[in-house]
Amino acid sequence: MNDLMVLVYLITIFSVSIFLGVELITKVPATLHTPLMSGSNAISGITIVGAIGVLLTSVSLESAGWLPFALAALALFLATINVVGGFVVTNRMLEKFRGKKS
Amino acid sequence: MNTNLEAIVAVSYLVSSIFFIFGIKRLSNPKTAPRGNRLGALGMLIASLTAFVDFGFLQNEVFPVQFLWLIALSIVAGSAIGIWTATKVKMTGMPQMVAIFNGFGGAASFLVAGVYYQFLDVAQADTSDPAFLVATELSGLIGAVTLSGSFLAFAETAELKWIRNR
Repeated sequence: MNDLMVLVYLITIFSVSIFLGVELITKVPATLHTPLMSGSNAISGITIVGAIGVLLTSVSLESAGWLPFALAALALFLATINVVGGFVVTNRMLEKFRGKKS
Repeated sequence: MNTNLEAIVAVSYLVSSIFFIFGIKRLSNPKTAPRGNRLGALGMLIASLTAFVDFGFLQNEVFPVQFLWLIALSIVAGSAIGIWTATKVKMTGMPQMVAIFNGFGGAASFLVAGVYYQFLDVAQADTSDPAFLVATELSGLIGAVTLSGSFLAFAETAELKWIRNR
């Protein structure tokens, strides 16, 4: 695949994801909006994959020095808070929700 | 390059994204919502482990073992703070908490794009590659908007004085 085709391929995935997101979100009842927001925020922490990647790549580049390495470690730290905190807080919301219902 | 491992990594990323889709799908029903959340968390675990294999063995050939301590420290400290704040926060404080978490995610995305753009392109990617440029610039921009927007949303929901006086 040449560079331009990679871009087109990425735009294809992006466009289909937009439709998928709209389809998934529009059917949610209003009472579940808060946990849904929180849950999808936790999933948006997928940037943790980018943080792991950038950290593992920057450590293998000795010429780049310590700055990219430190920034990447900070990114991984923040992304982990986003992911772990996001899922835990959503779980708590849903537990309260279930308690109220039954 | 190990072609089999490359295929396994690609399939593993695909599996995690399918988990995310079904996770959100199940979040739309009160009965299945807790399971949906757990499914999303499982997808995230799979994606993270895959990223270690992907960037540790495929892209870099040798796993940088000497820096494992810093990687472990970032993950352990991040998890500890995430779990601690998420369990300690009061029910009424949850929207603010989510706003801060979201801001952290945006900051991480911004940093990842910045490090890629500023440092790693020199050694790795071709800077004229349109896919690299568009993806990196967009994730940097969206990350920065997420960061500033989420902290403003936090200030708004927490009803901080300085923002209400404007």
